[in-house]
Amino acid sequence: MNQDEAAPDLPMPNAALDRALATLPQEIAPQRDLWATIAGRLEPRPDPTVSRRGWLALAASVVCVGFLLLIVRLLQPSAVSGVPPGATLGSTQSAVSPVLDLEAAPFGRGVVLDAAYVQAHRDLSAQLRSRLARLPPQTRRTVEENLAVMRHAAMQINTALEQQPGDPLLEELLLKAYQDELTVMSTVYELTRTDADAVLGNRRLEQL
Amino acid sequence: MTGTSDDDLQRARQRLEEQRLVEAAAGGSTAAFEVLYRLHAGRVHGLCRRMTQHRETAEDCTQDTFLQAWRALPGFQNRSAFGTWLHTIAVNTVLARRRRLAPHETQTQSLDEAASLIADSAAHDPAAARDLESAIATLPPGARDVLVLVAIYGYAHEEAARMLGIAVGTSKAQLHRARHLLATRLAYEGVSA
Amino acid sequence: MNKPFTQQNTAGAMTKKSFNPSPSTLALAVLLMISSASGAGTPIDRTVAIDPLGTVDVSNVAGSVTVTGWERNEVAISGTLGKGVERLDVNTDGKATRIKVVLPSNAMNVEDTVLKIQVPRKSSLAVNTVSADVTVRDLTASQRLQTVSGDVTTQIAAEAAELRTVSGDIEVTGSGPRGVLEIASVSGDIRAMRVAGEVNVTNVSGDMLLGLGAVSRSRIRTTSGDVTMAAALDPGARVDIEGTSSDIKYVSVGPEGGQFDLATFSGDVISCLGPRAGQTDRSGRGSSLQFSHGRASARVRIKSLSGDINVCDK
Repeated sequence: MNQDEAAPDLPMPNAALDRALATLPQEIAPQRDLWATIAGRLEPRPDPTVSRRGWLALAASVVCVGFLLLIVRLLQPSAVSGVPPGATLGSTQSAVSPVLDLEAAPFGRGVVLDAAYVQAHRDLSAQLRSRLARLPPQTRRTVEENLAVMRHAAMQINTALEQQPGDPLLEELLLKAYQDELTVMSTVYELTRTDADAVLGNRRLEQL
Repeated sequence: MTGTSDDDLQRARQRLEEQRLVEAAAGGSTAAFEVLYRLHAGRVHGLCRRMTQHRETAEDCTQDTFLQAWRALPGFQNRSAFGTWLHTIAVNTVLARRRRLAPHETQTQSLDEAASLIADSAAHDPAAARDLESAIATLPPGARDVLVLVAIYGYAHEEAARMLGIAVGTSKAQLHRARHLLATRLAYEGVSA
Repeated sequence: MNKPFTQQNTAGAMTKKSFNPSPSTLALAVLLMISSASGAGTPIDRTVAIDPLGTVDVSNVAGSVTVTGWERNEVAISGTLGKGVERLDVNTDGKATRIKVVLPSNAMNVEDTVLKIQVPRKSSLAVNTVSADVTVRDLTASQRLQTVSGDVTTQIAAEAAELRTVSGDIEVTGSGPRGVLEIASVSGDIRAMRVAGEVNVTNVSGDMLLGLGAVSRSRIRTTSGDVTMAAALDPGARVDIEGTSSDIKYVSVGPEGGQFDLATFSGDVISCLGPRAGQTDRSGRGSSLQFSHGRASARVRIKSLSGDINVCDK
């Protein structure tokens, strides 16, 4: 259309149009569940043996599934949820210690942690610290006490692991302790939104 | 779309969790891959849908994207975000299909298809979405591709250009053209500031 | 014809945007603003027609939120707007309704707001508060109730429910049918009775009292809180309970029983079931016990670091 090129001032300001575009949904659920078709066509991997690192990744992904299912539920309410079949962490797995990168352990001696985990932990801690500073003292105390409880729990498990290296129960408890701490930090962060109202509401509580 | 602290937090968590899942899926776990599918299918399908403006094609595109991702997963280096990597595959899938077909087939914009896209995305915000979606459906493919990637999915021009195989300058020009056309068409339909 | 409505951007500030819907638009944007500029606690009395299968989003800071389901296709809001509150926003497009207590930018002395809300019984509900207690009754669709320090009390039907607090207590009662229940707290006490289906509960230091029926899958995680759980399991169910210093008591109800895998590193395992009933199994590596009870197609795993594990059928 020639009139497009020759159009004078835009009738709708770009800022409003951009906002409208930005609020269009990025997610559009397919009309039918496509997973069944996809699953039927996934070629099996040539090497079935899972490496030591692979086992930990699988174990960690299984442990993470619960939190991710929460994300899935929020993103796609119609998604099917469920722990992947055959994914129970059993004590029959070979002993693996979470040694994936060299980094000072926040939880105590004898444990080195995956760099990605450490980074996520660092990010979360920083986010949470600035958020907590704005909350009423009682809430802040509760959160800090409980995070300390979790760190102490992980340290206890670590100490036990030093006495019984490779103990499957302890490794399982330790893995879950790490995941739990991240989960709790992000839950607290989500529940204490930097919503202006929430902040101001808490300010009111502090002054009483 | 703007990066709030909550988005940053969600992203940090997802980076870690996704890395675990990608490793497991690369090692052969279809269960881990299904979780990745559940996390990303909506956005991948949304992208395919908006670029192709055709329901069945978008479903094929979505399936092909995940199948290709499964094959290529062992080589995924984590340099880019997993979602971006999936979208790159999706865009390639759409463009490859376009190149294969005769030009007139891809330019057909049936009213039924536009209407169904509007219906599928309208749950989000019916009033705004209906007008905007129908206007986007009428855009020529080149302009629409850039508009979808940059203005809806938030990619920078450099990334969108790389995904579409065009120059950055072309991407910016196409976006300008898309917004110009949208503004004109929406005004024509009675929407004003 | 301008229909202005107020929209909140991600940073929390309010912006006004004018939007002319085209003639083909079917959605209706309605803005109801209640001002409390007078400063006194203002009574609330609003009613809006909405879709019976829509979503209702409620946001309050301090005070209380009580949501009750009813048969009308309306949202009715009563209660008292706290002195100093700027206004109560009620927005709906017919399907999605938002009710939000808005504080002024300079909130010095803002008092509690009591919200009493009646919504269509099948509405999906989301409630967010800071310290306001949340009570929900007679709703049959999904719920997401979140507070920082408010208590949460609700009844659930056979749908998805997500209840989260930092330090508030949580009490949820089911009516029997299966749903998906996610409960997370940091230090709140958690009490769930007659819930069934998939039940996942996490906290750090509060205590849990869980009475579950027809469980298909349950994941219980705590660090130092104690857990008392009675469950009637589905065939093939999976139950995982883990704590660090928590004492965990599990009561097996019904014919299914299960294959039990119990282990504590330095605590005691005491079971009145299984072949070594009554004996505490202790080895150099801590206490563990594995046995089958009942039909035993389900699996119950209970792990602790230093807490005791107690399993019985009563």
